[in-house]
Amino acid sequence: MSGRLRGPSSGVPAVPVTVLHGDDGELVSRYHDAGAVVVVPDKVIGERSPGCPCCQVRLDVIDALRSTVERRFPPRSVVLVLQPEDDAATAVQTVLSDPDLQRLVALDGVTVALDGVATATRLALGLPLAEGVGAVALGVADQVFVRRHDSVMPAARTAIAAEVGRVNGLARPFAGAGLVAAWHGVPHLQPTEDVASGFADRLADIDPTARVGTVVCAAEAPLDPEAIDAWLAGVVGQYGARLLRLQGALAVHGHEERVCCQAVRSFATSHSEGRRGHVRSGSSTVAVVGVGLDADDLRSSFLATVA
Amino acid sequence: MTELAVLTSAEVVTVLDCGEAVHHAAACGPSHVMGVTLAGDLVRVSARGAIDIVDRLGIVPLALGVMPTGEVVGHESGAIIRSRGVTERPVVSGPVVTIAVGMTEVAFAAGEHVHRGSGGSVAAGIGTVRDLAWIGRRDLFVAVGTQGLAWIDLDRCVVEGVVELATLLTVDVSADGERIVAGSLAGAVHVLAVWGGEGSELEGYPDRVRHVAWTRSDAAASVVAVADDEITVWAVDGVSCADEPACLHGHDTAITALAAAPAHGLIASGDAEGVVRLWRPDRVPEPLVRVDVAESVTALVWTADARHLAVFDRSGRVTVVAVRAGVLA
Repeated sequence: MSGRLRGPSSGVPAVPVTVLHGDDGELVSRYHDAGAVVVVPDKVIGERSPGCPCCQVRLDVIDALRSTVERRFPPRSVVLVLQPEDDAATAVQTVLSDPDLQRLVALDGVTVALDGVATATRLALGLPLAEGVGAVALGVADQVFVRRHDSVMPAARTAIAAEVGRVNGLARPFAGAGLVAAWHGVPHLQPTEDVASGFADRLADIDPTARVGTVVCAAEAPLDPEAIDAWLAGVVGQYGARLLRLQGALAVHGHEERVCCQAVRSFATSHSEGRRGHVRSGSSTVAVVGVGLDADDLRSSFLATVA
Repeated sequence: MTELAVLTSAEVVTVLDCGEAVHHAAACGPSHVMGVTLAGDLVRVSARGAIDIVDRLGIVPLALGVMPTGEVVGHESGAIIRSRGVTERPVVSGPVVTIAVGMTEVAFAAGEHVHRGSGGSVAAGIGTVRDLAWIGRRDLFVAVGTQGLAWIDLDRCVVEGVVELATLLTVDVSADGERIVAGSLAGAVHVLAVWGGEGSELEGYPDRVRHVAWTRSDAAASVVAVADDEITVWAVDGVSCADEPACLHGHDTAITALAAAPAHGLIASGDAEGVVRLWRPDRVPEPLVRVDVAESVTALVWTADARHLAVFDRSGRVTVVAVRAGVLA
């Protein structure tokens, strides 16, 4: 199971798209140097197409990517840069779910840029890591780039990393040089037991009342296929727009390989984990990132799906 | 299969190479079609199977309109008008994403404005304009955009009326010029009377409605709408629609192009795998003919005489298909 959000495979060559939230100049230049075409809308996405807010975001993301990719010589890769005010979850959901974009591009991950100094100050003042659209962006991130990392004291860096994990247990904070080169070789979340144990260690630290938070559900026995399908549909239906991201690897009764699932808001996909030399694990882990999640209910209902 | 299905036939006349993929094309004269490639080349294709490059514009095209006197091509920074040997680049700020040709004027939209080929523009008042259609008389147009729909008299450069509707993407006008159909981002289809606000809203599409069309034949017109791989056909009486549409099944992947023939009621649909289907949706729910092209269909255009269909695909080829529409015995 990869830690990154990935678009569903359409079977035809598609241009990989990285969504970058935060318009970080350093990252943008690094992506550009690595040969990616960087799409930076000249206005906040959603301002160019006035109307219903989520429709604005959807339309502008579709237009921006189609006009970039439907060219005589399409780019090898694209970085879609979102401004700090942009709704990252809707943008990512659009990239994943729109039929036209599914044919043309493939989501290759979501990076959110945070300013280390400002964030350390917020935490020191007892404020949350981010609020509003910033918190939503963190909720769907695969990686969180902490700028001005060197200007922050080690204790503050640790606090930032811990808070990132508290908000989004799937996101990996990073900083420093060689980012773009490392992006495609970034160690993914380890499959099987390493993930389970890593999240299990954090269970005690996760604050279930946090505005945006992560709930990790784990089971050691195979799951009933119908029950887990219903559970996943129930989570998506119950939380709706409050569900920012879901990702997991499930051992399902009757399936040789584990099923990897991911969702951003109401759009969900799944695929087989693939053996890749690993022994098939009988354990299941799902991380749910969202707003106002009922941790006890999620965990107990998840355990009820055990076959 | 009925006698109608047996008599309707399609035969590939030729396959030609345009050099690059064509996403925007239109009928040109009775038996020609014009397309503009991703390289900015204007190509003219004849029903007999000849192709020639009319001009090399060197732009990335976003829209094409063909007039009796020439062509208009919209691109990222504006538009190019080629008419009677003269090329003009009207001052327009922003990408021109849609063009419609009227009786004496050509309308093209950039941002929130609709521009007139002879000069002048009007703020449509419907947010960003996404599509335009000529109503069929004088220089009256309907524009749809992110905040609704507007009736525009381009002779006088005025907006005659606005209907507020959520994020409309595509529009078509019926052959009698009395009704319009518009598809929305939210997965709804709106059927309205021209100049009026009365109409029907048809909901329940799984995704944004990307293509809409009126069938054109002697029979009563129907509305055809496409969302993803699903084609639905609504019988229409005035602006009232049947309770349930007919669903046409013939594509396994997303439908990328739809074109209603200017006569005989046939509809052509093309998908992301290069499958083209011909339908007579008001008579038979099954596809009548299948044609396969090399790659994903990027544009479908009927010739003005409705005897040929040009299928442009992602490989840069165009397949010219001679179509004989069947009649009921």
